[in-house]
Amino acid sequence: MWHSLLADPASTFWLPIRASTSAADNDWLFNFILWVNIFFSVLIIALMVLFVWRYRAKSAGEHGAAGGHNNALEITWTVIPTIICVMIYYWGFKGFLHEAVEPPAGYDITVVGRMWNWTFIYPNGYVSPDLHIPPNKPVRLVLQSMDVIHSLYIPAFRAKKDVMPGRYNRMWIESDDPGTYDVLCTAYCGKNHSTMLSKCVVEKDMDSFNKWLEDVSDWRGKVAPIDQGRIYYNQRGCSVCHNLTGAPGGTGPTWKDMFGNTIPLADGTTIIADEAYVKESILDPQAKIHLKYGPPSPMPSFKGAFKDYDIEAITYFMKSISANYKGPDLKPYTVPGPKPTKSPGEASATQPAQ
Amino acid sequence: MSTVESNVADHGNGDAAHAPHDPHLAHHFENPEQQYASAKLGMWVFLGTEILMFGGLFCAYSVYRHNHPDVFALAHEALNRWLGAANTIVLITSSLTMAWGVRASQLGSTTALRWLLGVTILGGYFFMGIKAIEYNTKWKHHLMPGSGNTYYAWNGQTPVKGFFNEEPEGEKTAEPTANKSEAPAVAEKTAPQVAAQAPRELPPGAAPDGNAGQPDHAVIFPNYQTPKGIAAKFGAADEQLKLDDLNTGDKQRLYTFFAVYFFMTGLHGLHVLVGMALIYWILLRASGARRRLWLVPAAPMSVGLFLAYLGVVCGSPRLIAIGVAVAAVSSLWAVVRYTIKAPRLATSEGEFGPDYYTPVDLVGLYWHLVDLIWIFLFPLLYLIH
Amino acid sequence: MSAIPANLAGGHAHADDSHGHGDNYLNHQRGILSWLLTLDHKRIGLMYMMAVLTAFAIGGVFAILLRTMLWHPLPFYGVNITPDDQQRASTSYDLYNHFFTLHGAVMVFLFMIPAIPAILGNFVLPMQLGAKDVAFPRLNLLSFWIYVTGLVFFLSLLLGGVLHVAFGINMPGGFGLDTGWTFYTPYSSSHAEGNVVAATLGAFILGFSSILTGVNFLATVHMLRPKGMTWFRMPLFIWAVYSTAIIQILATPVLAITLLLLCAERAIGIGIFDPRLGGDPVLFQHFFWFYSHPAVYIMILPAMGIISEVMAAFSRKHIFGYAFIAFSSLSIALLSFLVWGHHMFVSGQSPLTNAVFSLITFSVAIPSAVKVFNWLGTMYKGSIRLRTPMLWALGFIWLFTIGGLTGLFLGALATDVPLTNTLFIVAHFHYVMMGSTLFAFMAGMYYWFPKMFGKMYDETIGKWAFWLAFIGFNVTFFPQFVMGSQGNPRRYASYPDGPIIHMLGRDIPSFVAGHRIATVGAYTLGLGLTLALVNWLMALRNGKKAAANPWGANTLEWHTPSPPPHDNFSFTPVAGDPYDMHGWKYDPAIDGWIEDEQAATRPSPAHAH
Repeated sequence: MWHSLLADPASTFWLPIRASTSAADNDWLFNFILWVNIFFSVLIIALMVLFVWRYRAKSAGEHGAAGGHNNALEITWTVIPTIICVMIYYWGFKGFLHEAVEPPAGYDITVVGRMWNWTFIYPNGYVSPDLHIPPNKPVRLVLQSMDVIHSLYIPAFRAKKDVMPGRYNRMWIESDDPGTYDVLCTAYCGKNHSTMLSKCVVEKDMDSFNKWLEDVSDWRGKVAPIDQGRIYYNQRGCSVCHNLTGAPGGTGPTWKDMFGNTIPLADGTTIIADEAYVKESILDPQAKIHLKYGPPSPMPSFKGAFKDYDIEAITYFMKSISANYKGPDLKPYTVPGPKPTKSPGEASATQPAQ
Repeated sequence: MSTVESNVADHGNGDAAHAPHDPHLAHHFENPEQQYASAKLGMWVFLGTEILMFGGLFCAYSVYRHNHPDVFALAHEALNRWLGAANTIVLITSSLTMAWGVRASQLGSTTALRWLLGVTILGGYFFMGIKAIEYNTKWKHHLMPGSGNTYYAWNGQTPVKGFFNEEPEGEKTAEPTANKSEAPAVAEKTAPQVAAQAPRELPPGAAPDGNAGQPDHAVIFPNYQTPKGIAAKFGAADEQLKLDDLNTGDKQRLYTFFAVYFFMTGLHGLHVLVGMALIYWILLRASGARRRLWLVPAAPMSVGLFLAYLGVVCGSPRLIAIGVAVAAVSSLWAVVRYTIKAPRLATSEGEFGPDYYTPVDLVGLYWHLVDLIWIFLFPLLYLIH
Repeated sequence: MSAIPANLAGGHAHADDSHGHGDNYLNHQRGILSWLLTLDHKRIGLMYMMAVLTAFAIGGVFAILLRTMLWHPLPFYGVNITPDDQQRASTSYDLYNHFFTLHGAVMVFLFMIPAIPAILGNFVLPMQLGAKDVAFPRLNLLSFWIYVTGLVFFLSLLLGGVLHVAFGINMPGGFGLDTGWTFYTPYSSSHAEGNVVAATLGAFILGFSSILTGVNFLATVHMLRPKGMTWFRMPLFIWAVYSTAIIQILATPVLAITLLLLCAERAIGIGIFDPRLGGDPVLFQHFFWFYSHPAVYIMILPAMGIISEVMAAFSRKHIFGYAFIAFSSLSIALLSFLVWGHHMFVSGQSPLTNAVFSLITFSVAIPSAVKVFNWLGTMYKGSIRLRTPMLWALGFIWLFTIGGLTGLFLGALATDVPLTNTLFIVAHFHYVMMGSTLFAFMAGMYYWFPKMFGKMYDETIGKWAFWLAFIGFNVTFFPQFVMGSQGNPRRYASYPDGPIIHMLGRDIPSFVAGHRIATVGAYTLGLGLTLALVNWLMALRNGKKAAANPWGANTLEWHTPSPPPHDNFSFTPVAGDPYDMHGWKYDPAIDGWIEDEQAATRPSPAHAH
């Protein structure tokens, strides 16, 4: 409701550019307190100057007037500040509560602070040095520190939270203004504390955010499929149920020597574990269920979580650990020099031109 | 120098012009009652600050106990509660003799005062002796505070054999190097266990492309993962808690208990030493010894302390022991001599009597405080599980 | 009750006789040892002055150095710096970190906390009580030497830093100090390269000095008040120092144990505060601020006491609302223990905790506001003389008003979140702690200077010093409010350009401009304070002889000659209303005030209300 009073999100003399949905309330309170400040400073200082001039000593031996106290006056100037303080407290607490209570249906990003850089881990496992967020969607940041106390601060969002080692802190942000904003560390963390910067890019819409994430997460041409398959195995929870040692038991069948092997199915038939079987099992685990693990299969569907080339990478990885795979030798290769993840040439205090 | 001495005398013992009657009345007080009340107020306030200081420690203790109840339940088994109980009795007794001594000084019975003070100091020696035995035992089992502790190594996820999982016989005197050499073998076994403890929010292996590393050392164990039920079960069924009952996070924190134990008892022990020194000073004044003779026992004591210091520098436990023993015996000898009032020492009846017993009273208060703190420390560290 | 008891007149006449050639505390005994081992509270106060001002100079030099470094954003700065750049930058950044840490630690532990209680409190408090000394003179001397020991620890840090930078020699335990004065774990316990053990031990030792001074003053106020001085006839400076003593006694022991624990954590890794070892870094913050927030009031309360004295004396009027001011001192002292959590609003503590701490924080604002209004009430219909102490006191009100009001931003939870840990905080606490305390300290120094040394300072130079310092202070710190709310974090060795402002037909990066203005202000402030020091030294050398009561104030210290005799009073003082000044009349011959014989028989106008 206060937004109408402060329609202009551009930076003012006191406050930086405003780009989050809760910043307007915050700025309203800031400006309210600012005016209270100005009123009382001017009042007190003006009275002080006035008294100094009006009641200046006329002669060296002069005495001031009598009068030691006035209870009514003193109670008045105790009560008025009290009322103002209670008002400010109430609004401050209300605004804070809004920032403290996480809205549902948020998007989760894990923030890792270390001496002296930030990394942002996306749900698909992509690790970014910059924070990219979709607009008009509450984004929940889970903060963790690798070493000392840091503090994530985004001035344009009026948002800040300490990043504590040994515990998780959470904060949420929601921006309605696409652009690039500063991300700073505000808890002193050693030598290069002042270089612990990053930037927050608010994408134009959800689609462009998804496209960005898809583009940066595309590993093709940078990582060998076989390596990427191993990464997915470790990252996406495959390792929780499928072991690589061939040991019996567990929630799912071992991957050792699985590819090319004959799999007994729950409906009594068998099938050769080939590319088609692997892909089908990842996308629709209930289609062909291993005899010992179901029905129903305890495995969740990964439909939508993996692209075709991701599944291909997993297949390559399975091939490389299977003695039943009869094909050319799968030597993992690495591309020299990974693609730079930081886009060069950006200025430090990048803010959108208004 | 002479100006200084006169200056001190002027203030300390009172200006003749101001207080011709009472040599103990300082010049800025009007009468002995005011001076006594001021001193007593100041001492009480100072004792208040002491309690607040230990209050901080008790607060830290509570926080850790609340967060890791199992650690405390298991680790306090390493303390010998009988030695602790003995020390409690010793301190309470010495508090009694101290209070009695204050009364004796108020009644003017100087002989009783000397003997009671002597017995009180002996209580201090007894206490510190038992404490030394306890500390020595901890040291032998590598249960010292900080990185020397056996369980400190658990932090690097490298469990080693220690007090709670060592063989009952023969192992206790093993060299620390021998213990550590076994570490890698055990490490293999517990490594998966550590991984299983890792919180779920932490994306496992979140470092595909070198942009970010694994959490290299700050393994996060949120408090809610601590199964607090074990401690409760242990208390209810009166059943021995085993090292294996602890989860990995708590195993890694076992040594914190010893840090807390040594810090609390060490600071308290320091207060006992200060208290003993103060009572010694009161005893000297009560025995009426010539001031010049006060320094005589100081010579062997200094030699002993210097030897102990050399021992610390050279890392020789034997030298430390010898030094401490020399200091203890020489001071003990002095205490006995002043208590029985060896004729060669005494020149007067002693300073304290019904007119002036403020120092005895204040030192007595201090000694009671030291006693009081121990009465809290003993159950908190030795008894509660 | 007459304004001045009759027996004071005789005593005072005698005092005037002895003035100039008689025995006073400065010449009572001679020789360096008579100073180093003195039990006289006045001499101990002066020794504190030497030591504390030395520490202040050191802290000030660091302030100038770090502001100089901020003249230009340091190189190798920005979002895209490479690890190589970071490596190159870290040398100069490192220097900056050492500078601001030592500046903060020295100013807080060695200057702010002891300045007013230890220097002015020691000198004035017993005399205002009409006592010959504090309750425990030996303890007083002991606290001084403990203070010096703590100072030596900090000097060793300094020496270590100099040896490292100039000669590349590394002292054992690290060089300098780079933790920030707050010593936050786990940075201080396991990452800092500075000598944290020496620093924490030094601060621990200083804490002892503070505790013993507090015990001493508390007992003095309780036990040594003279005849006629009921609790509500105590001068307000004594009320303030008394409230301060309560805080010192209750809070400092907790800091002591915290620092010991931190020391052990750093030295042997006991695992209390370091999360890597299973400790809790937030516990450290709770412990630390449980002391350090009340410590803010250790700094400001005695300052408020001085202002009450100076306001009344230079308005020649009874202080307005005595009881309100006295009770506000006490209530600030008590409330100060309940607000420490407001330093941790963004640390992730529960919103409920935050709400409670925020509410109590606001309740501290009210007694502070009451005091300011009461000082204005004192000036109303007074007879105001703009002498140097009054100027500093008015400067105090100006700075304290701004500093206090900006606290509203930080007490309110929502606005605290973006502002905390930015330059806004830096500006706020410099206005409150440094501006207010320093200006009150200067007011007190100028006010009691004639009493201390029996010499008058040069009024013109004193006023120049004030104006330079006042303007310099505002120029230094006001831009930091704006830069902070614009998002410039504190403790940054370098900074972004900030929003571009259009001025004089040019595009000016506002942070660069702001930092340069602040740096100019810092130099001006330094110049003003140096001028004040020169002023005092000149006065010591060839100052005019001061009257026993140059200001016409009625607290007991003005009833005895300047400088006072060894025993403070050559008569037994009897206290009346400390702010009823009608018993004094101006004597142009000595440029001071003497007892008015007729006033003793006249009913005092102050009692007409």
